[in-house]
Amino acid sequence: MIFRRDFLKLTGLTGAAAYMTGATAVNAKDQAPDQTKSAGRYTPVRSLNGWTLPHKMKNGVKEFHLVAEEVDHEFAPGSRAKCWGYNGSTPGPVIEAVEGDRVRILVTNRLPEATSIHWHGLLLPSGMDGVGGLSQPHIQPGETFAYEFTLRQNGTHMYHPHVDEMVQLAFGMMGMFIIHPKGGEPTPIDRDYCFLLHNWALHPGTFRPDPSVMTDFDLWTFNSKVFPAIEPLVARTGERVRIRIGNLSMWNHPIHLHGVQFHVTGGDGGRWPQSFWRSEVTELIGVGQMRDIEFVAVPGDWAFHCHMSHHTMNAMGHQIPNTVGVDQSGVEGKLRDLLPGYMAMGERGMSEHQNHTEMGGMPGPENTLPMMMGKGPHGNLEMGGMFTVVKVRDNIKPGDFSDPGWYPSPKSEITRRISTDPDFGKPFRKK
Amino acid sequence: MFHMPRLDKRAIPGLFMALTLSACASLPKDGGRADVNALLAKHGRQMEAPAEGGIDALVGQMLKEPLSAENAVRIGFLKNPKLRAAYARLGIAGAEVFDAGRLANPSFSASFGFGNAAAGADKTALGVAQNFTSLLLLPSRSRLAKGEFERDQQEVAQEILDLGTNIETEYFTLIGAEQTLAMQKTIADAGESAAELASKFRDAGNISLQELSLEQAAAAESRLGVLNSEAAAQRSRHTLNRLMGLPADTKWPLPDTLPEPLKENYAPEKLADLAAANRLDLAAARRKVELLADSLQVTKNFRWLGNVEVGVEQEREGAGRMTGPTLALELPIFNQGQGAIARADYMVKRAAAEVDELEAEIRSAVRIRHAEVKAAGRRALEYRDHLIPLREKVVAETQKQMNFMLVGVFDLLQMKQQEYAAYLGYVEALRDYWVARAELKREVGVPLPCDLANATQSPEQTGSESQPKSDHCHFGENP
Repeated sequence: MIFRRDFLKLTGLTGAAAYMTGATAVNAKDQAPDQTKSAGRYTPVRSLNGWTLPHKMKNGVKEFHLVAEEVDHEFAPGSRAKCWGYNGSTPGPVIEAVEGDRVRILVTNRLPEATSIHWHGLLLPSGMDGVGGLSQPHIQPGETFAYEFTLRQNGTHMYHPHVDEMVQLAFGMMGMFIIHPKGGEPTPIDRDYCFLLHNWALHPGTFRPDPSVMTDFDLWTFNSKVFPAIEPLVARTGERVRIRIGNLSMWNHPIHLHGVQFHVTGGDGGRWPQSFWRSEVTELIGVGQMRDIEFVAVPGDWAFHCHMSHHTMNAMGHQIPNTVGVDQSGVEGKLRDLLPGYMAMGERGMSEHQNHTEMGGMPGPENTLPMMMGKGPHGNLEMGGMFTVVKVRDNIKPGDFSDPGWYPSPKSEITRRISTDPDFGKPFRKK
Repeated sequence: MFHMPRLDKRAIPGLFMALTLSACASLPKDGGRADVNALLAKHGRQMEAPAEGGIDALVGQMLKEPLSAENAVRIGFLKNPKLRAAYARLGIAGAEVFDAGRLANPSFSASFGFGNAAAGADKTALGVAQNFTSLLLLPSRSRLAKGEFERDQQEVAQEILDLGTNIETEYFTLIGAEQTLAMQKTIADAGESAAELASKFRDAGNISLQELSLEQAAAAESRLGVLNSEAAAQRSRHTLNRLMGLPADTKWPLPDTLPEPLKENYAPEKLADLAAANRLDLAAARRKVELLADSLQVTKNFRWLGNVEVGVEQEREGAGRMTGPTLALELPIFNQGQGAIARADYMVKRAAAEVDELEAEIRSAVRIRHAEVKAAGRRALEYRDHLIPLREKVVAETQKQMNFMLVGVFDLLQMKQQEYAAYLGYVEALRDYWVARAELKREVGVPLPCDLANATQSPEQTGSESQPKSDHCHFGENP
């Protein structure tokens, strides 16, 4: 007779203890989240440049401990700032659990002011909702509060402060709350990615974001990182990939993926029935919304970015004079007499800018990234902000998240130059 | 028998002296010039006297190099007609001394009477008379005139010193004006370049007429700045040429920049003491009090003495001769000189009050000028050590922002214009400093102690590269 205990052992679902401690749930950079112990339960999400919060089991309750505190954060090498986050990072760690779990989340406040945490999208008792002053007294600096509730849904959710929201959000306080369905995925997911959209007013030359900015931001991020520091999303050809995106920024973002038509499979209320799925190449994610997209990976390097072109640049000047088309040849020399470092820029457009900033001799203000960065296999990428690449290869091992380098296009499948003469071919052109 | 009027016994030696003096007293050969030059030397100005044709050669030599304050003063002393007028004035005073030391000439009288038959023989009367009062007063008058002559020397010396200070003041004003003009030209050039750049933007269709006009208007304003500065510099050059005694259009090279403020500290009250002890006009005013007091005493001593004339007369009538002394004596019946004494007394009092007034003015002026020098020096250093480097840093940091296209070129040019404005302020402060310092020298009346201490290098020649011999000069203050 096989007792239940033995049956569990056989199927590899060893008891609660080892798995429930979640000791290995923190992402090592290129390793899969611990899949062996969770086989059959869920594929843990991979948070871009992020990590998942471990938990302790206490009498059947999954206990998490968040610490709200100031963090020293790097947006990309060359740009650091004093931000606010959880447990040493912005965004805070992913809270991952299963529908039906009873969770207790301890929140310790090490900020200079009061805070609270709202569990965005969760169905829970009013007193656990986390709105400071309304649901609960504020968590004062130094205090620890305990939130406890049973998870009654599954899907992609978020958590963020609900005290002095504009300031605390502006400084980076947010995280994802992923709840997996109790019975496993209806459609098996091979790679489950998640990240949060955000915007920062880190004015050039400064070291702390400005929380009073409403529309003219400087940095646009996936999980508080800008290109070229955002991880690629790696997959093997044919794998089913899900990307969960939450938006706690101050603007809506049309997120665009090259190479596939993805399905939007879920939103704020969890997974949609298949009849509700939409086939898109760009999905607009509004402020406060979450969206899940799924697709089957096809080989290649596929740009994945917000389609607002200024959101794929690092800090730009606001309201600078338009230099396109301005011939400064006569006057540039005279200006250099007054201003030795002066160089006329932008007459033929902005593409040359990345070369200018990279050649040396044209330094920018301290702690400031050039607008356009990144080198691909065929030249400058001239990107920043909300931009990364989905890299799909035939030969990537399941669970391997390491960067496979650049996609080697077969010669017959890459566009090639056939002339350098602008009058070549004499095609029809409207006058 | 008439009584000879009683002579004051004191007058006897005076009589003796007068007779000897009138034999020895003569016009000072150079009109007192040597004495004035000695006074000037004591107050820091060496007067030169090249041979008649040598003046123009010497001046021409000095005008070949960039003009120094010292040379400007030397040229002025050689060529400005003011000096000739001053020395001539002195000569007039000298002549008066001469006259004061001489007895009045005696007068000779003759009368002829041609009688008719009834009158009888013709009558002839001949006489010689000498004013006796003048004899008695001769020593006093001589002494007082000598005193006045010394006072005149002091006043002429003061006039010449003032010319020297005026030249120095104008010299620094001129360099300041030329330096300001150069800066304004740089500012105008930058404005022109900005306007030219704006028109390129306009050609490309990238800025509006309004924005273009704003840039062009700014350029026009800076051209106005140049015009103003040019006029000021011209005015100053003409004035300096006039003070130096040169024709209006004389051209000569000038240092490009004003030197840095000197590192010196003065106890202002000690400077005021120096001025009170050395100012020639104050010395002349004090001397005036002495002379008026002397004059008052003389008036008192001789109050009963009116006009006295003694003489000898001979009358001839036919063959008869009558010879005898004559005496004319003013009788102090209606006037015993009370008015003259009172007047002399009040003149002394007035002169004494004027000395106090002048001393107070001088002390106050020294304090004021010293404060101006200190304030202007501090302003110049604040510009040089803080504002200008900070503005340069702003430009450098703004350039970095422009490198990353975070600000536009017009913002950068504006920052540069602010840097220029700081430099203009610096030049103004430097000019204020040197002009105030020249004025301070005038008020003190003698070379400033720190200038004497650094006598081997004149401040104007060290320029901005080197500092005076000692790092810091203190006078009258604990360092």
